Amino acid sequence: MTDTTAVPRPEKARILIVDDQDENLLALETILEDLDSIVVRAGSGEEALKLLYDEDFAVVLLDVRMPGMDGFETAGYIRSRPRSRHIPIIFVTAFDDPLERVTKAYTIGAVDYILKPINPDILRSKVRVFVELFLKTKSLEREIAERRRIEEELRASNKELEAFSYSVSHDLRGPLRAITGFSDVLLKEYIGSFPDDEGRDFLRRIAAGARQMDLLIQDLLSFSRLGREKIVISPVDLGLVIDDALEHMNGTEADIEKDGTLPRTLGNRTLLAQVFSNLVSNAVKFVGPKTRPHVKIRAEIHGERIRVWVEDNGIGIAPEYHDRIFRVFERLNPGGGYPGTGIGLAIVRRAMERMGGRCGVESALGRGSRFWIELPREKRSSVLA
Amino acid sequence: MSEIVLLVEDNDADVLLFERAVAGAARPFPVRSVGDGEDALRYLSGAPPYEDRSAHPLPTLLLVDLKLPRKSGLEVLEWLNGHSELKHLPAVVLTSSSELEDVKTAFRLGAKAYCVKPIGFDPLRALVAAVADFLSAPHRGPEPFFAAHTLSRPSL
Repeated sequence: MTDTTAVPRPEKARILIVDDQDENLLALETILEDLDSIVVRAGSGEEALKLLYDEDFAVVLLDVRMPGMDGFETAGYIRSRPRSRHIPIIFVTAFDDPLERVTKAYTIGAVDYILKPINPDILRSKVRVFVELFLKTKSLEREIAERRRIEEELRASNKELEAFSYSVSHDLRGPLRAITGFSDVLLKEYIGSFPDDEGRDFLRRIAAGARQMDLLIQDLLSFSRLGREKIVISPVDLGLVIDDALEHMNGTEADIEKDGTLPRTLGNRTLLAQVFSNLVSNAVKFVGPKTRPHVKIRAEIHGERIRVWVEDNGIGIAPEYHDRIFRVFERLNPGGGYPGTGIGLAIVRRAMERMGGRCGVESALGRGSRFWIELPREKRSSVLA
Repeated sequence: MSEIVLLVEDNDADVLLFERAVAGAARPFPVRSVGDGEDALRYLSGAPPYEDRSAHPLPTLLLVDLKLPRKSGLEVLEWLNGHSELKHLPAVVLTSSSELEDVKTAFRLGAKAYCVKPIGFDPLRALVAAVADFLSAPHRGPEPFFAAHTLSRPSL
């Protein structure tokens, strides 16, 4: 591939005029003066071919009758070379030339012809068309090259991002394992050797801090993966996915109620499991003191789409925060009260977007929250079912 | 006890924690560890300094990290495939990477399970207990014992 960005680009189009008579060349030059292009002269077919060998032209005006190599022969050579194959050729031919000559001109590859004596307006307007075409093509080529360059850059930075998250998942976790592992052993087996509660408390804080950092890394990784990994959309049984997600929450002190019949949808099983696990764990987590969490999962069919609600009896969210909670690192509650990373709902939103769906919330302070997600319905199966 | 585990791990803290968890296990088992992929191949093929099989017996289970100096864990898995005398030695990946590409490649190269190194001592002890259970019934293969600890085999 040639790198078009490396070639200096002419600002103006070049027009090649070929005629053995100086006065004809001068006349052509004068007519074409207004076109804001560079007019290049060639006194013979040979000279024209030489010029075409290493320069780009918007159009060639080629006199038919020349001594030596005539216009037709010259055009034949122009067409036979890959570099000049597509250059438009306008033959300049005498008024008294027989019709066969004109026909021949077209078979050789002329795109147009003009009769002598030349009508300046007609010539100008014919040439102008090709000059504009040339400039447009050049600008398109530039645009394509630019786009290619951007795509290349994007690929490179994606690669970098992948390398980065690989190292986050692999290298940053090593020290965390050491901190949590050894502090756990200390807490379990050496706790008696601490002379006071303060020492023990500090140790617990070290262990808890490291765990929190692990959660952060995990969530950030899931979030960044969501942006770059290919996602396969296929029919999904929502009931099964939700069961999967709930199974991971076994042991949670909560009542979780789920519609008996949940429809099938189009989505990605892994992403949906993550979405529900995040929504349900939020629903269970954000409850007032001494409240037993109650979560209800139910589905509604809205035409071609399915909406699933995850409703809780939690602390609720003031309306002004309904948009903010779906952004990365947005937390409404200080870390002490409710554990978490502030990434969970951002993952939900990005996952839904990647599956062609949406999500949202209806809630007010103190009145529980109703989170919803929406996905296209899987129609084929509903007919079968 | 003749069943031993070969741990291929370059992180000293991980080796120490693993050994500590084994020492405190209900059924401790012997662990040998090597710190890079090449050393693992030397051990498995009985090349010096591991030529004495009574001191360096062939393991019943290979626990292999993926990112290792000299030769990676994936290269170790690949090497195992080319050595028919070791084809009954089960390899379980124990790594901190959960990148889909790694999981796919590891299973493709014959790993029996893919465990992400746990954070915290209790989950590590649970993993060590699974190893001990497997060693008490190695004929059943590692899959049932590691089911609760492994990432699932990705569909290709």
